Amino acid sequence: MPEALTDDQIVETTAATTPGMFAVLLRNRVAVAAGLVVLAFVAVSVLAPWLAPFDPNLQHPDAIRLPPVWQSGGRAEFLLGTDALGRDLLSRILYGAKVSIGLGVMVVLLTMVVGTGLGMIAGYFGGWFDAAMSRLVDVLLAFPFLIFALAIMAATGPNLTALVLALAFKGWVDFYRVARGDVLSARHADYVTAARGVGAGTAHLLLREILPNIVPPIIVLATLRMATIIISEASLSFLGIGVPPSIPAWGTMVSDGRGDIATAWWIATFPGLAILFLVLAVNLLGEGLRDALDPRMRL
Amino acid sequence: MNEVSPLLRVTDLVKHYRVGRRALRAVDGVTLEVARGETLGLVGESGCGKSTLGRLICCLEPPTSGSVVFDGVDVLALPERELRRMRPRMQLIFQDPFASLNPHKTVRQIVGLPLQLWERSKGEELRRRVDELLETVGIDPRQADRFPHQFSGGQRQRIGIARALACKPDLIVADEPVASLDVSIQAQILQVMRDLRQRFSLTTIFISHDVSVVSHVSDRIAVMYLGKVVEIGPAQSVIARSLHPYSRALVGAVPRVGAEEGPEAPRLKGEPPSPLAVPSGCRFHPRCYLNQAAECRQVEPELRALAPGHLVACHLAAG
Repeated sequence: MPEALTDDQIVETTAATTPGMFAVLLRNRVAVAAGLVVLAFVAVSVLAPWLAPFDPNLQHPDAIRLPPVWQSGGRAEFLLGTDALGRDLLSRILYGAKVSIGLGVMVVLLTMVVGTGLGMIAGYFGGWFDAAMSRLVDVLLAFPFLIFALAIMAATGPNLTALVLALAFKGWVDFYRVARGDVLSARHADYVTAARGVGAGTAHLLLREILPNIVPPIIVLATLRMATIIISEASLSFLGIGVPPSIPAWGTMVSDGRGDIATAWWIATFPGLAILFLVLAVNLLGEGLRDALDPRMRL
Repeated sequence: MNEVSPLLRVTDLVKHYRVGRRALRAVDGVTLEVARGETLGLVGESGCGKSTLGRLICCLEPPTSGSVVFDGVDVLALPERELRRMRPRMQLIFQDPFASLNPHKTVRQIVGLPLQLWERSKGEELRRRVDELLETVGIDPRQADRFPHQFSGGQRQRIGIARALACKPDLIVADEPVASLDVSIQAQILQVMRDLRQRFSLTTIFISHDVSVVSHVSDRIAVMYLGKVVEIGPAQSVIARSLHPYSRALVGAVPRVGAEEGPEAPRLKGEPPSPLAVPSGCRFHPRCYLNQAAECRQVEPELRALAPGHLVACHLAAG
């Protein structure tokens, strides 16, 4: 005769163990693969000087537009071939990872901190600050990003600081809106009221009660933004107003190779593939993180 | 300190919410006292403002007007810092145990928060105190490092009670603490609350729409209708000798096993009016089944004592 379970037994069966966030993440094979790819890209960006066979700007006059090694005419020392100036493509892609990842991380961190902070303050306190910020955001949203970035970069010439600011200029708005909206709904949640009721201060309520609940959407947004930033940087570099020409960047390389796409497909294709794989991996990792950050997934 | 002064005195408390251009009169002038150690039952239909009143009493929402005097201190006049220091002394138990625990915090963090805040408790000492509290409410301390979603509704409500106890409160406002639980669990939680009330000599305001639950736990009962207290008095006499026609209908609506069909258990007609459009005069008059006098429709009745400690707001009621 089966007996009804008591409260305690039910809990024993559903929650014998409480795996942490990483355990959940590691169980997601796609996320693990994506994480490894991202890690590989990061490692490459750091280790480029040791991994790359050549200086990325070194020109080989005897090896102009050489095809990759597996095509006829390719040479073993230039694995992915060379570009119109005889520079080694592999070396340039390895060095280019630094610009893409470095800029992406920097811009995302900057916009995430600024946008989330402002959004939480606006959502929690409301009032004139919220009203003023919302108007500002409306104005920014009506502003075409590329035109603005073009204007800044045209005014200052290609340099990294201006590029970071141009990319961050509108990027924080997404974080602001997500954070504000989530705080607005979490502010009156019973668990926040309860913490206030036991005497917790505003800082505790915002940072310890509300923030953990809005981190998952923020993380997901950060990875999506990371992908967008990488593409934006590549677009600006493609237009010739992004990264200074002395620094190898994937966007610039795609741009340089586009004229030769019919005769020397590899010059534009390999950096393009690098962009594709990095963005894809970052997005997949973001999705895995979103699941792992939800404690309801930790059963 | 004067021993006979009430722990809580609420005077003419009003909470209006603005809905468009109109005012939603959730709480519309409530005056009551709660003595130390007693349990006051607050009963009424859903939407009558009893939950809002509970939150106002715990200072979790600012009232539109009126005063809350807790242990001789006008808490609404306190600056934010001082109010924070008072907060642990008045604790709300929430109706929905699934919403009142932060899903991203472990039970240990949730229950330990008041101890960290107010007693600078930490490390091994904090562990021990939280374990004790959990044991007090019947939760296995070995489960303390789990997250709220790993517990059932009844267990979560116990955790909520443990958090309130960690504050060492004088007053507990229990807002429908069992309404969202299975009937079999309801009795357990009520028992837990009864035990703790005696053990820690707590003063309790017990909010419920269920007259039978309230009558079991309360010393005194206040009946609310549309934002006002219409009758208040000793539990026995409010149940057995209800003076207000609304209270009589509420009490009469409780099903009793074995009881014959009562002589005249009045039935209420229709839904309570919207608190956006409170009727003139006696706010109960559109649903009242008594023969109404003209003043019922014109003059708002005040609470008046018809028996010792038994007050009613009805023109027609007679002791």
